[in-house]
Amino acid sequence: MTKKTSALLLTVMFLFSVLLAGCGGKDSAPPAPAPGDTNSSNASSDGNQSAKKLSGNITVWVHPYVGDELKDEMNVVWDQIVSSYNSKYPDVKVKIEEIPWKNREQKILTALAANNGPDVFYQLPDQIPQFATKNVLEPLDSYMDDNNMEDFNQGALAAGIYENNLYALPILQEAQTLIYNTDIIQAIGEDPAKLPATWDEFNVWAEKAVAQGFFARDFPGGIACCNSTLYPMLWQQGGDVIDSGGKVIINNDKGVATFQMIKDMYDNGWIPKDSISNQDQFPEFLSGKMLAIWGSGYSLGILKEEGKNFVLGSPLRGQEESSFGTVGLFAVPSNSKNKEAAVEFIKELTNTESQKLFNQLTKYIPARQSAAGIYDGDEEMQKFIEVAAVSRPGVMSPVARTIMPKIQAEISAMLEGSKTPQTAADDAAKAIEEELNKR
Amino acid sequence: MSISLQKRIVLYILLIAFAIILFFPFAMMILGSLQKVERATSDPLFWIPTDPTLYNFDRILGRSEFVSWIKNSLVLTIIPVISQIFLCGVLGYIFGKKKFPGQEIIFWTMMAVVMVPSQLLIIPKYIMFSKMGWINTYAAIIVPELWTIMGVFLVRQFMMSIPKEMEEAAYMDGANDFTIFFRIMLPLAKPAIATVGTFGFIACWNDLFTPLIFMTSESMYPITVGLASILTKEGNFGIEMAGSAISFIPTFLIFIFFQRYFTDGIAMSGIKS
Repeated sequence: MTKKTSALLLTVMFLFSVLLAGCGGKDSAPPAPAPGDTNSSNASSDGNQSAKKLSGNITVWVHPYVGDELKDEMNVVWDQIVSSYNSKYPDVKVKIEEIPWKNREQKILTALAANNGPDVFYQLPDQIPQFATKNVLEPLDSYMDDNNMEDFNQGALAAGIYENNLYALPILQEAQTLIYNTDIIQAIGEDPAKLPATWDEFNVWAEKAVAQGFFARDFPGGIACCNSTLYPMLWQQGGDVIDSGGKVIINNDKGVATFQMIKDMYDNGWIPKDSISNQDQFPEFLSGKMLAIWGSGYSLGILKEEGKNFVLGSPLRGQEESSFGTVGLFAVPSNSKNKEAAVEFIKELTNTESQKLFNQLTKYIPARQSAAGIYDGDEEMQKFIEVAAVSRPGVMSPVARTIMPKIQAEISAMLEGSKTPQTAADDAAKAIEEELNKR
Repeated sequence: MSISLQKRIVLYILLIAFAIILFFPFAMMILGSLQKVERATSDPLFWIPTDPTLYNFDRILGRSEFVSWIKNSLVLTIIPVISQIFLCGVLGYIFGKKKFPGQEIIFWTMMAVVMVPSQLLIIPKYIMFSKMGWINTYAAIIVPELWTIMGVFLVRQFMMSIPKEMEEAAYMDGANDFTIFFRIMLPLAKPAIATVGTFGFIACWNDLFTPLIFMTSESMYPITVGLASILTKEGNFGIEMAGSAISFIPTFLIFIFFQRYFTDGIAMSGIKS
């Protein structure tokens, strides 16, 4: 065989592999349940699950929600939840498997596509539309008649809903808000007890801080945009990415005003010059160079460990008060071989008692109001619970993840000066529409 | 041609600077592992321990599953490496020295498969292994690694560089193919074989993705997945550094022992007779 023939053969094989790659993605969703599947949701819609006799095995995939030092305590929590479930359904054998966070999405999708996945697994809000549109998730509405749905924080519950179908039940919430450096507040002659509640009030503080050589706040633009950067600001200005009718509105007047606001903060030195690429500006805050940082309970823990002087603020109000807060949910795949038992398990997992046990250990915010009492007397957690009430779980769209880097690219282009806020917002809108049109 | 003293000094300064740059992440790993710190702090040199501790190693080594993680890593590495050394050697010899119909087509078809991204094969593999009952077993990781196309390619190239006359002389002396392979070709191809083994060891020992997908119980995790399973979503700097230091040791030892063959094998696999 000549070199030419070998090269030709290689090229053909390469093109074939590219073709295979192109075909692979669309077929990766697991098969829909068989019509005769007695475990399907239709077979269990009477809502009176406790009267049913369930049996068989279910596998639950969880993740390391706590550090290694608390692993034994976490196992006790899982044992208690399983034991409570087994007191109602003694014939169901529950197997809890802890899956590392790393590459979790690939692992879950691979296993589900091969029809060999777990019966219950953990989900984040922006994955719900993505999985739901591929028919990976079992709709749960018909199973919920005996579940107290009003008790869930409605923002957290909304994270499990896509196109009016409930696909997952929330167990935890996180909330993000501004955390201020008390020393800098005093240095600029302000009162830590009277923190800014609105953008106008914050802007006054920011100008004073910048005049004294501090940064006003963070904007870690290098991080996978935009839940902790653009979105909260956009919502606070009354804007959004996609409206409830599916129309892209990131470039309406409120969207452009938000882009302009970020550009002004950058040009005026309110946020660091590396905001285009930096993924984490927390060290700037820790070293006392920044008035405020957008953080969560996790940030608070570090500040306490480092013995810093800080005070917890509110997410700022523009036209409305809003924040980002992720929600942790449990879902049942549509190809689970024991759906009814799996759904009953997530109801157990997200009931008041389980939420108390789980969140007390993991230090997240319970997604049920009746479980919020675990933080009575803890002012900081109470503040986060308040913020959680105005928090959104991100953009609920199947393209939520794919549009983020595209929006970020437009913001970067705007910050480095090659695009105006209007052009950047328009181009971001165009990129989002292209992603939506692919579906 | 001798290098002038000034040039030599400049060269050494550059080499030392380069060595420091390359050594920096290593130093960060070792020193960071001795520091009880979960994440980067305001101090840029936070990873230099002020109060060195073995806390992170204790957390990892104290895990009841640690011994099984190491055992699993050894099983999932040693079996494929031994098999790769033998099969890549045999196949490399056949494709490098023997002539048979369709030889080139088969070889280049095999080579073309290298271009198929491994992520693309993961779902078909999962479905197949699931039907065979191999999920959460050693077989799912070991069997696909029994030989590698790149290993065959490396040995084939090396074999092609061995003069034909040596093989012909052995034939003249009455040696058969097996004798020629085991007594002449395999010893001559030692650098290439050692390179295949070293590459195989590093790839199998450090593989996180494949066992992460195919193993579901903690007792079956290799060390890479075991270490990942300790971490929360936010990670833990000290634990990650200690974990990296522990899993680095075997790779480092293998590289030290086989370094000579390793570089020879890479350099010589491109030489043609």
